[in-house]
Amino acid sequence: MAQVTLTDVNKVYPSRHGPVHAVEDLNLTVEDGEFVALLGPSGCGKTSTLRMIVGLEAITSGTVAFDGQPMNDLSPEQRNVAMAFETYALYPTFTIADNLGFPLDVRNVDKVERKRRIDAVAKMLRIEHLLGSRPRQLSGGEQQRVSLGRALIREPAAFILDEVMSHLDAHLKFQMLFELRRIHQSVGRTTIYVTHDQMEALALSDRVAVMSNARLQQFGTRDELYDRPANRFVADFIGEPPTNFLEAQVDGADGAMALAVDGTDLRFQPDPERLAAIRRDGLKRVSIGIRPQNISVHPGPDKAALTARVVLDEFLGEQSIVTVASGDAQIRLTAPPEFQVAPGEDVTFHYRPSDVMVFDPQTEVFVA
Amino acid sequence: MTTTEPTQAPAQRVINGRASRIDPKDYPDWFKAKRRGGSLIVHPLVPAVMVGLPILVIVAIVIYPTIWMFYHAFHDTNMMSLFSGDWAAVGFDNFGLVLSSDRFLSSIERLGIYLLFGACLQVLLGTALALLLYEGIRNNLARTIILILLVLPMMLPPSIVGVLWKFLLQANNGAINHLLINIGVMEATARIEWLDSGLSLWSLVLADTWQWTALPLLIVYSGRVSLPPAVYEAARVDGASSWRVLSRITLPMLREIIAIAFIIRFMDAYKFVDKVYVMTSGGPAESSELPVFVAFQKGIREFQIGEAAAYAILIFLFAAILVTLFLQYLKRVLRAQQTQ
Repeated sequence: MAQVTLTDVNKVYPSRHGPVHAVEDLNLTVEDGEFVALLGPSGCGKTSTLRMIVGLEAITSGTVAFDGQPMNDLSPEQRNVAMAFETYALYPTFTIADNLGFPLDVRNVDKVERKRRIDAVAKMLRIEHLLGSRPRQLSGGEQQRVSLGRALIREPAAFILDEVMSHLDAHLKFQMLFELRRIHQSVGRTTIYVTHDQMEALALSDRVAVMSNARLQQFGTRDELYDRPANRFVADFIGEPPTNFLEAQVDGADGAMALAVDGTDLRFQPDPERLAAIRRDGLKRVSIGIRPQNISVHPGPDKAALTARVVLDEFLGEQSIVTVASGDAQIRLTAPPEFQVAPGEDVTFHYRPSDVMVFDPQTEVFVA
Repeated sequence: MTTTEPTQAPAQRVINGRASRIDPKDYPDWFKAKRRGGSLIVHPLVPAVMVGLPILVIVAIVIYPTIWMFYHAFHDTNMMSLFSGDWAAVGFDNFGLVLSSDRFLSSIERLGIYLLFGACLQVLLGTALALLLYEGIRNNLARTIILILLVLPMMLPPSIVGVLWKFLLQANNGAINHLLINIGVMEATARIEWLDSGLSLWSLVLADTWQWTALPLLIVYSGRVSLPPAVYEAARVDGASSWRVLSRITLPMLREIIAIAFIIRFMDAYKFVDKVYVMTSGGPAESSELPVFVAFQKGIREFQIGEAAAYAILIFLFAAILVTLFLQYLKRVLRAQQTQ
């Protein structure tokens, strides 16, 4: 059990085309027992970060510390971390039982105790019937569970899971998400989980660290990421379907300030708190971000209304995603499946002023 | 007004830039069915010629001599009777002669020594060097250079290597003896008779090992390169020592590769004759003769055609049994890999 702290961590890979900065000035603290996801698109530096935490990759500069103890020069074994790999990395010539027991075997745990713990882990992961087989005889999902089991059988300072679900089909992934959560609750150990899938990250973690272009963009709970994204990238990356972004002009005097979207006569009315922030920063132009889930075809007491023409109605089963356009601006909104609308019709949609996120168009930083 | 019509040449098929002499409509049906546009087959006889010629060549240089050999293995053919054409059938006498001859039996014994200390040692040494090179040297350029240097001997013709080592191993002026004297292992007046009857076989083994260790090395090295790196990272995270990684992960994963290297080396070693011929000519006093060399001597030097044929058949049978066993093993390995 450990608190994992990264201070000013940098990773630079030499390459033929000059040095590549894979991780830049990363500061991150994962509390003891916390489940944290490192989320980001491919190549954002999340796996490099993870490998530096484990000790498979040298740290170019900065400090990785467990419970305040610097770990930079220690081997993975000395750091006592357990890791599950994206490619499972099971020992192909071992049986499943031997695979699970290898970390114990290495630590000279005696046979009886080893068997007891292998059985316990196998039971927890529901792979008891596979103990005699070899890795290649197993399906991807089963290998995944063995790989997790090999990490879980130890009592490490932290569990490190690298894209462990990227090769699972949707159904199995859903099941494994639940299992992982259950296992974390019963074991209660610090867990760092790398993924590019925001659904996995949000479903599993206490907090999510969003990375992009070698930098940490935001580290927060799912609500913070959702409601107060640090910048446009986070607002865009978190949430499905993706957030609508509209470029707008700040318009009107203090009393009746509104955001006029370029190339259309749509005017968004954010709530007073956000307007105050716009005024404070003296912005003339802003980027508006509004999530499709926060735009509805149903009116409400505190909602504002706008009208636009329907371009596309995508029926997704439990909901429809309707794309509307007004002038040059396109907005996606969600509607209940029974909502029927034909392209070309006008539709009135409603939003809460408090759901209108405002970004600085130049720096893309969240204003309010 | 006359319009100049381009004179239409008689229908002529042009395929791949060459005119076909046969009118396409006269092509046989099978050929029409097979033919595709741009096909290399431009004439119905081409397939027959392309298959037929190699078959003729194989019949002439492999099948006919083999049948000839089997025939003469059961006759008392020698140089005289071969030319006069009056050989007599002797049943299995030739085989009895071979199997009871000391020359053949001791050559088999030498083959055993050669396989054990030559081929096996080369595979072990090659494996060790390959793993050492892969694990021990991190710099890619250095690794490539060392690999090339190690592989160089393999690129030389075996007979040239034989000549080279024959010079190196000369008792009086050979470089090896000089070296041993200069580094103080041996007194200045002492000589090791490398090519004498006591050591000649071992000298052959030495020269052969120098040349061929690189083959198992290359095979095992490429096998090691293709092992998944994630497995090794997992082992590091699990805390396994390098010895445990080697014995429990690397070697078991390389087992089949090493076996294949061994099979290849073994099959090569079995027909080992070039260096014997160049370095010792089987001598002195037949002390470095291997079975294939004995057969060669019997047939080409002494012209005992019948006896040499019996030698050849025995060697062939032995080789066939071994190859069958090896193929069975390979089949098992492949099947295991498919079902796993």
